[in-house]
Parts: sequence; structure tokens; C-alpha cells
Amino acid sequence: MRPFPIACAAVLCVGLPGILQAQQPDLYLQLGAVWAAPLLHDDIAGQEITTQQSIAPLIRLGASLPVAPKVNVGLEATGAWGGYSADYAGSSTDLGNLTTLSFLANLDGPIVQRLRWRGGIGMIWTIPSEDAGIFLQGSSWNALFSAGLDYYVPFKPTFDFMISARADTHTLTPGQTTLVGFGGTQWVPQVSLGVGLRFRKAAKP
Amino acid sequence: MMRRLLPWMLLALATSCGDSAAPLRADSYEWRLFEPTAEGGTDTLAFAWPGSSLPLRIWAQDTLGLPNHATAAIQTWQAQFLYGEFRGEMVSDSLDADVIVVAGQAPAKIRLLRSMARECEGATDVPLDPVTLILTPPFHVFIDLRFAEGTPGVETCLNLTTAHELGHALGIFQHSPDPDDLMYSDPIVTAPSARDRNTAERAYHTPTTIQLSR
Repeated sequence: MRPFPIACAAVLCVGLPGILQAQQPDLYLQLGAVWAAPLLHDDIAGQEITTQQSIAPLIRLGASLPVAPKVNVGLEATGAWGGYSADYAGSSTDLGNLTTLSFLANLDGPIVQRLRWRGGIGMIWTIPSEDAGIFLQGSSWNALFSAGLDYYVPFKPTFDFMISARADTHTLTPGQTTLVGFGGTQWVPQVSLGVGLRFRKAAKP
Repeated sequence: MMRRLLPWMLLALATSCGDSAAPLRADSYEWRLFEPTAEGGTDTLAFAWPGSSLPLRIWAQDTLGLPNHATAAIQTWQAQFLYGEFRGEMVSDSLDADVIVVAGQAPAKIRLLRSMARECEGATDVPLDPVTLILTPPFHVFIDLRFAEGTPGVETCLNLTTAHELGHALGIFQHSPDPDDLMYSDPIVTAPSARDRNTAERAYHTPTTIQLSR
């Protein structure tokens, strides 16, 4: 594994407990689903091949705390599990499962009452169930950029319902694709929806 | 704050539309058979195992370490493909096999692909009916020693020759003209080259003309 992603993951892992120990952090837990655009497009002898992830369930855990009157900073970890396949010549070949673990450093702030924007950068770790095909050389760490909206519905003094819509994009450059001659960087946009609960240590006045 | 972040978000979304460029795979060799027809033309014979018949079932005689060499050959060829086009597995009963690997000299046959490495030799019998152009497995692979077992180089030779012959059973029905390729007629290299990989990938993404009967 490359040192930079490890350093990022370490910073996030070390940073999260720090935020949790800080005064008045907001914590949230979400369940949802993520759809991703094709992981790779290829053309062999005039035949188009698309490698596509299935819609995957996700679990998201995050924490944030205010750093300015209208800005929060936070850390977030998301795990998603789904299958992926190669589609060509009118048929689909099951390639196994993909697990993605993503770690984001976020900023968020209000747009209107109950609705907040969110933007973040981080890393995504793509882990195949089997080291084969485009993942013959194993899992890969890539850069992740995220933007989204969160909508809160007060539920109890210290709990809110939370609905999130995210549009993310990440790079994907598995070692095997580089080895066989793919050039440039593959960008993989993804869209996710999540619902969950936000826990506020400080009750709303 | 939102106004400051917006340009960066838009930039990220704009760059997110990029695809990596697929390799051309132009560097490959001819893998198909060309048969003269009664009309004086040429018939192109192309074969690849369809996805519905995978994993390919391979049985190897328990001598000369052939089961280990066949297992290694399966892994070698699986690693050449990006999209699960080929998968193989060893089976314990030769009756269930699509490919049978045995030790010994190949019988004299017309449609036999032979390879002559330094310390051993191999041959693959393609079970193709020349009239109906129907292929009825199993393929028979013959591996034979040219020197006594244990002679330096024999193990490596058995390994690369088994992989070479499995390449024929996959549908690469011709030899490469380049000695740097595993599918060269007298193979020397121990692993498929980029040209072997390109050829195998092209074989599995080109329409086949041979019908499979199981």
C-alpha cells in the first residue's frame, strides 16, 4: 500500500476520537444506498466492455463540530458493499464483490432552515473479493471528492432525523489497468442517498 | 462560504466526466485457423469458450507433476484477462473434463498443434470435425520429456509447455512467430507476453465461427 493513503487514513482515524472528545460534537449514523457510474470502459477488437458496480447498500458514520458561526468541520467514514460485473456482447459476467471504504474530511453549513450544504475531500479504498481481472494486483486507494445536501427534521431535543443526498467522484487506477496499457485517470462519479439520525450533545434552545 | 466552495465543487464535477484511455492491443498475432474451401476460398475458424461453459474443466494425469503444472497454467491464463472471459478448474474425473492432459507422445494426427521446447515437447489435439466444423471436447494435451525427469530445466519446460498447450485449448490455434511469446512454436519464455495477452483478449472478443458441442 502507498504511504500517502495510509497517512490519510491514520489522520482520520486519529482525528475522529479527538472530535468525539471535543465539546458539543454532532454525531450521525446513516444507512442508504450508492450508485456508481462505470468503473472502466474498454474496447477490444471493436467490442465495447463496461465494468459496472451494482447499487450497493451503505453505512455512514460521522462527526462534526462548529469552527465558525456558520461552518462546521467534520470527519466521516462510509462503507458500501456490492457486486460488480463486466458487460459485453449482450451478456454480463459476474466478477465478484467490491467493498469500498471511504474517509472524508468535511465542511458543512446552512443554506436555509433545516437544509445544509456539505463538501469534502478524502480517500476511498476499493477492495475486491478476489484479486483478479482489473484488480489482479489487489485493492486500490484513490482520491475522493464529495458534495451534498443534508436535511434535518427535529425529532427529540438532542436527536434529528437526517436525509442526505451526495454526489461524489473518485479516481480509479488499479495497478493492472496501468500494466496492460490504460492511459490517463478514470473518474468514477457516484450518487448516494442516506437516512439516519443525528445526535446533538447540546439540545436546541 | 458556499460561494467560495461552489467553483471547486463544479471543477470536481467537470473533471469527473473523464475516462481513462483503453489500450489499442494492436500488437498481437493471428490465432485463427484458415481452411481452404471446396470453392477455392478460405474459411476462417475462430473459437473461444463461451461464458456459459466456464469454468473450463481440466484433468491432468498424476505423473511428471502434471496436475501442478496444469493448475499453474490455469492461473497463468486467467491472469491475462481483465473481465472474467476465462476461468478454469481442475477436476478429479477425466470423464468430466473439457481438457485432458496426459504424459507421453501424441498420436499421429492431422489437426495437431505441436510445440518443441528444449527439454520437453507438447501437442494439443483439437477435437474439431473438419466437415461440420463442430468442436466436441475434450481437447487432448500430450506432454512428453526429451530428457530424463530431474534433468535441469525439465521442470521449467513442463511448466511452460503445459501453459503453451492450454493456450491452444483456449482457442489460440496458431503459433506466434515471435520467440518472446509463450505461444511461439518452440517456447522459451515462462510467461505470456503482452502480445500473448493481447491475442488472447482479441480471441475472446471476436465472433467465433466454430460451434461447440458438449
